[in-house]
Amino acid sequence: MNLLEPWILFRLASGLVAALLFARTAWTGIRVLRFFHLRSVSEGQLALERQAELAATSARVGAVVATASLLLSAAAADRLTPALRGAMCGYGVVHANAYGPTSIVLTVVVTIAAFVHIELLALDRRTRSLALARPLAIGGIGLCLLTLVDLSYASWWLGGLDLGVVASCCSTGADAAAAGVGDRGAAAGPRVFVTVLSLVVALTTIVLAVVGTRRPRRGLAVAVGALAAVLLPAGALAIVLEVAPHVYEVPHHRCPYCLLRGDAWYLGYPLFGALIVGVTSAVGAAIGAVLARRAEGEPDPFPAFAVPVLSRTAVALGLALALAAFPVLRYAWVSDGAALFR
Amino acid sequence: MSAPESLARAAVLEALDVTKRVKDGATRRDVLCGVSLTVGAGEIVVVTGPSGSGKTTLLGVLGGMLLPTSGEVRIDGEPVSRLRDHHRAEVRRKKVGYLFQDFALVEGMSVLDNVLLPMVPDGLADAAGTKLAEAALARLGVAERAHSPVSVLSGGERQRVALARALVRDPRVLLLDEPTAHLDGSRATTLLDDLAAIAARGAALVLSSHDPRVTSHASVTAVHTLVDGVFT
Repeated sequence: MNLLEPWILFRLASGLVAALLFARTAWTGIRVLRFFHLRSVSEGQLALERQAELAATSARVGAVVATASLLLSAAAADRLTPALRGAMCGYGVVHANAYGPTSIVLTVVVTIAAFVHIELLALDRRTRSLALARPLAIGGIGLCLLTLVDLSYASWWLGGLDLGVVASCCSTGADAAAAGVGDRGAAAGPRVFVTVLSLVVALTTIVLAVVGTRRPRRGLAVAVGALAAVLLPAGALAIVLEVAPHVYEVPHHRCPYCLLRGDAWYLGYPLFGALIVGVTSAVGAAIGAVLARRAEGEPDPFPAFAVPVLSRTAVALGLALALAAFPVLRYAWVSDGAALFR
Repeated sequence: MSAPESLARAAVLEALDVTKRVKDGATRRDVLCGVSLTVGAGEIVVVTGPSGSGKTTLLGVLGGMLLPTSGEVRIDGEPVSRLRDHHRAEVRRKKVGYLFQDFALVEGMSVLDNVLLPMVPDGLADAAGTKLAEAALARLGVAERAHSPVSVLSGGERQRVALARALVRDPRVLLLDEPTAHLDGSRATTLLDDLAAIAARGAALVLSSHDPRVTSHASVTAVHTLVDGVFT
């Protein structure tokens, strides 16, 4: 194990704290699924309702810690780069063993799931009845399981890093492509398709989200969430295939980790961050649209819940789009309109 | 709809099998044990009993300031005791007026500002809110004290200011803890007449008191005796 490396220690500690907080949420969730009866006013039922409030607080703090885990994963990959010979960026550290890529994906998934859960807790707070107790309990249990799997993978990845071997680097792919060995399709094919798809889906999602802030309808929120679910992988791929090469002005330099470095203006942090926030809000709005319940004689909680969430979706995706467009426009400016991909 | 259901819906304030358990050192003590109470619009219910019998705790539970350990409190049919804190606070502000035994006025503020306090969280402490507060003070005969600091008021004036604050949002439920404890005979009678007028406008009133002037007043609908947390 490499626990004496501070970044590894911080990452694993934050993962452990997140797992403990979500375990607290899940424990109450299990009790809710077993014993919660809305019609009962027994001592046990009322105590359980208050424990559910406490579990919601644990989940909120857990989501913040899960976000810290994601940032620490990125930071650990970046900061450990000099420790691995041959590694030029986080790519070398993440791909140093088989668990790294899965660990990063899982941490992103946990962060998104945790913030979707928080959106649903916000809906729950606006709902006067306790109708969301069971769905939230299931969400809390799922979140706990995901976090435990994520912690396991992070431990295997970071604990199993062999700092004595020569790592591979993202530049090996670029070198091979430049030598004509592979990746000849950089100028067309998936790149163009994914870029156009992401652009269309992002713009449609933003427009629908803005419409949703004026007319918060359930169907609209579900459509925004579904589009955002498509946008996450498509957008991430477009960033790698289209944006990253423009940042480095090298057609074959398609590395997401290099975007996190200072010579890329740390663009990856706000770019991926805005994408994740936008997608999280949109998916939260969609699930909220399905789950929102109106208490008898009370106004529907969904519109008041949906307006800020859809606003956040539009702003975050708009920011992501602007940040993604910036390197492409900058390249067009400095190259007098010459195309990077020929 | 059956007759009992119809009656239950007409009730403004309901306590259903309410128990309140508190920590007492290393042990736990039941301050209220299975208390049930129904108060309709226009009714005045008096809860009497010896000191320490749980009267103030019962008022706190009825007003949503304390949560029952088991059982339920409903106001206009809504289970207030099971709402989340912010929803319960909203109901409390809009539907419940509470006269504390020690009045709980804010000493550093003027009379008018004290009466305006329940309106502040909802952004209603504006010109219209000020008119309502002045009207409440006028109804209780302390309008001329509106801009005086609370610290210069007499005991009786303090009580009327506290009552004006409880009434300023025209509550559905008015809870009064020992309202005549600081008043002489004539002032107590005046207060009880005022309360009868408030009830006549459709509010449900619950008073805790062991004052015979209160329990024997003509406007009182029912008197319940609480002993060791149980209605006898």
